Amino acid sequence: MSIGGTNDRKTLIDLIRNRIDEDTFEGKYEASVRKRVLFILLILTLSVVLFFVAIALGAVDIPLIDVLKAFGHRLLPGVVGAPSQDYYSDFIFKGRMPRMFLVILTGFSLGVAGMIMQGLLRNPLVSPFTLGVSTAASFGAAIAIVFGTTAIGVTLSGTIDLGIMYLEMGNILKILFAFAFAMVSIVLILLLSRGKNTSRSMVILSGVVISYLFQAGIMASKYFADDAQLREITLWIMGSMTGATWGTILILFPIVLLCGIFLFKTSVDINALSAGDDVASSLGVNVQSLRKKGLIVCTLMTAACLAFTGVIGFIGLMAPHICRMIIGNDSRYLMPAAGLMGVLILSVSDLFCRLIIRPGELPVGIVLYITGGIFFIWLIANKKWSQRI
Amino acid sequence: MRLEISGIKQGYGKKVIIEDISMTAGSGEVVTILGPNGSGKSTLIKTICNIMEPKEGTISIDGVNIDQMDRREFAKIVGYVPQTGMVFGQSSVYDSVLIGRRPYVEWSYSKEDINIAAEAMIKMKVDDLYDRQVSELSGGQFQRVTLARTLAQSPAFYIFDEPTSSLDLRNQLDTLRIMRAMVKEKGVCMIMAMHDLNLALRFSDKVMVLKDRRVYAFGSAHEVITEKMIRDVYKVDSMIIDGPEGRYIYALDEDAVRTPSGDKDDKEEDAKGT
Amino acid sequence: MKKAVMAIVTAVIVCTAAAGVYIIASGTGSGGETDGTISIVDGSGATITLSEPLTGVVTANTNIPKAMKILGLTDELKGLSFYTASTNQSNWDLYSPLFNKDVVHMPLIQSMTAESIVAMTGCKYIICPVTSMTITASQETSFKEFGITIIRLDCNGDSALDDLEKLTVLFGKTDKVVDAYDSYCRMYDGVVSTVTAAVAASPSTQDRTFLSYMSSLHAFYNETSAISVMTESIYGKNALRGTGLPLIGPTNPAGEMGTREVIKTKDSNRPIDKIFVRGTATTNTPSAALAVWQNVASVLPITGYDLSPAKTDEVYVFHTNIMSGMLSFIGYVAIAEVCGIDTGLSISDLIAAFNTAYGFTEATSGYVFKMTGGGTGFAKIA
Repeated sequence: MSIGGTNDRKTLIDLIRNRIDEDTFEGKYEASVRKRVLFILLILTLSVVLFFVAIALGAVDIPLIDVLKAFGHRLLPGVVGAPSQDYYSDFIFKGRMPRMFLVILTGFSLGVAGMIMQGLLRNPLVSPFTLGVSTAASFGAAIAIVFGTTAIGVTLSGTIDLGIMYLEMGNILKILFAFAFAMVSIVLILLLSRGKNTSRSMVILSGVVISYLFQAGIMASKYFADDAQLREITLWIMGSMTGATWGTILILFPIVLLCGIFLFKTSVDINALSAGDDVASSLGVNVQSLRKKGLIVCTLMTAACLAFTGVIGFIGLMAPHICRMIIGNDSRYLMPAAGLMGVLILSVSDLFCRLIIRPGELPVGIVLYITGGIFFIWLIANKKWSQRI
Repeated sequence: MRLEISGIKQGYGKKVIIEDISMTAGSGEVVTILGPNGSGKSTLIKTICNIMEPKEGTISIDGVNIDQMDRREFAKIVGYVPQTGMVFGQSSVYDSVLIGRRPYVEWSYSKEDINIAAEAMIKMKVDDLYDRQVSELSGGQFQRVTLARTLAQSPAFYIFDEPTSSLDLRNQLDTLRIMRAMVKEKGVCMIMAMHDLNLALRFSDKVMVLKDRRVYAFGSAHEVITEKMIRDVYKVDSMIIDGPEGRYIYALDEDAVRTPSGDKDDKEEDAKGT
Repeated sequence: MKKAVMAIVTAVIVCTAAAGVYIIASGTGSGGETDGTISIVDGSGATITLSEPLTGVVTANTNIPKAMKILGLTDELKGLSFYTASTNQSNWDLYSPLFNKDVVHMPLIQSMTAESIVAMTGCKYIICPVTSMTITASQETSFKEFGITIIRLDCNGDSALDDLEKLTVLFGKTDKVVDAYDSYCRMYDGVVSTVTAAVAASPSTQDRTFLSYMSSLHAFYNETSAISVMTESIYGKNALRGTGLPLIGPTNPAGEMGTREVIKTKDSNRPIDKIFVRGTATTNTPSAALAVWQNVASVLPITGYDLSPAKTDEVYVFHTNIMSGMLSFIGYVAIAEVCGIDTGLSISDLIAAFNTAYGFTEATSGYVFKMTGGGTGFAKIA
């Protein structure tokens, strides 16, 4: 075992290629890092493969060669010929790609947010869903659907053509209200549980209370809704990826990117937090500030996505759990792993929803609830894993 | 290095737990804080570690008020070992110990960080458990891992809250001997809150006793730990006996703490006169 | 043994309770109580039996007031309600001038108890729509227990004439009512048969295809819907035929990617000829029609502006009132007109005649709009 030494950091390639001397502690540590990195690369690879599969498959199956031609022709029109049907390009670039990017952004956000929230509150059952953020977003969408702009005292309607996207007033309102109320919920939670110690149990309890309040609001909106509005509320709460346009991606991408970078930088602090608030504090972590900022940023990221997709449950619970069971608790690796696992789960679910009754499709929430339920039953039944939670 | 606390007042809400607490501790010293349950030992420990901000008073290191220090810089100087450790999620021993390097790390661990953590695990005899899940460890093993984490933190001041509470006799002695050796060899300072008077007597250079929210006494262990102190603070009659390796406390009251050499059956037989 | 006995006893109690609830809830099913001289099967399939003709009724249905006005039953409407706050008020504003001044404006139907209905209107008969949710199941049970009869009639779509006939039966088939019904049927059937004859005399359009879209639900009408049947009787075939889209209800959501893709595929293989959009009650100006179309396009990023009809200005927006309800016979004329079939009928004249016959004040224009300028605007056709 060598003592001291320089800060020589290995590149990713070195880590995968080089032989590791597991007789030394450094070697043992590198072996565990390698395992984590390989796991992340594996789910990244699977996600990429699934991306192309989802581009090719759907109500209309596009042959792989035409998928490649579509991309090639778009990038190098003089070199690569057009696909055999001209509408293949439309399907890929106007429909499936924005949808897949929405899946990626949403799956990643939910996986990461779930993981970070669980770390911040040291509770494996916490997620944007359980803290009431989803319920608050549903309430916002419900009052936008039922009352429209009259809810804020004005009457606006119509559609604006921005060239790259259409902004339909009813749709914009739904998105804005869903997002706004989701943010209101986390602010309320933090206010309710405030004090010099934003204690974890108070945050969770406040989340439950807020969830019930917004649930009451949703019920009231449904009471005043007509058939079309009721169906729209119900479908929104089931969640789906049909709202995907390039405009959606344009809005979500910077939000998810910036929030992701912020949360990634807190990885080491989240690791410290796993040892307890007091220990983390003594290790130089500003626990209250980290918890507040972390919860707000997680909510911002998920609220932005949920505003466009409706309620997508269980990913925030499942993705971190699965990754934690395989690669442990180190947030520096767990965060990207949970994000990518979220992408993988949502990709598989959305593809299944698009294929099972094609050309019709199921709302993705249905599949996720079933999958989530089965996953947790297995978890509870499997003693080896349940003890680790 | 010298840690100085002066006029500390602390409490929760309107309730005052401790007030007008002053003491000093320096490199190469082992300082123990004694007091009955509820006397504010843990509160004082947390205040010293800057986990709680004092309501009044100051804490300074080499004359610099800790309020003016960056949190990370402070964490490199003062390390905290809680009474009951915990860990969330699936964490290996290795990962748990590496957490102690947090004040020195931006994102990735250097060779030095890894080696320091490894040395800490070897010192606390948990190196063979390096890849075990922390949740699978026994109480004693877990406590040693917690100590290893603080060793990895490499602070100048080690602040312990009941460091031996979940350890068996062997491990109690081993842990304190290791820590004391570190104090003497590396010149760090150890401040610990304890219940065990005998261990305090055996391993401490200085002792501070808390009673009725204030300092009852502060000084060298032998001067402070007296039969009078034990009667005044713990309401227990005792005898301090000279033994082969130092002095021992023998509690005369049946409800008092057991001593290493004491035996309840013998005492009952003595009392019955058999 | 004891545990087994307890388990069996519990199971028996639970089953008995469940059976009891079922029996009470299913009740007579019809609302009728005794042998009566009047009996109809309402839109939900329930048999309504009355001992004597209705003299008064309250309604939670937008089409019933119109139907009753047509039948001359202006004194028999006792109370008017609906189930959303905004439409409750707008329906009141629209219909109350047509009826007896004693007609009561009732609050939201979900908030009413049986006692409050009877106290406000003195009426024990309520007409609700068949498919829309107006009263809850528990309200229905309590209404029935109080002796209120619930009659379900839509008076729109393909059941419009049948439901109108059922209303005549419920109100005792008096000469006045029967004459009014016959007169309306003559008008309705007359228009439909004129259109049908004009279609038969025109070149066949069986190889043409159309899309029919409902703007309020953001959905396409499939071949099972009444509007699609009406359209296919005049022009071409519904483009959704043969796409494999599920036929669970009369519509298929337009937002689903699969729906958009199969339609686009069909359009690419053989261009769809026309798009018919059913607007809302406020689609009575070209700008309103444009707004409806832009709403459609916003839901269909692939197909909205890329479908063949949109490139050739073959997009038509219709006011909702002529596509369903008491004016649905106008819809036949409208579709024929935009498909270039000369029926010899004028929509404005027909509506003016309708107003004269029944005392309505419906607008005589602002019902049919055609896309112009490649989708930049719409022009009023009728």
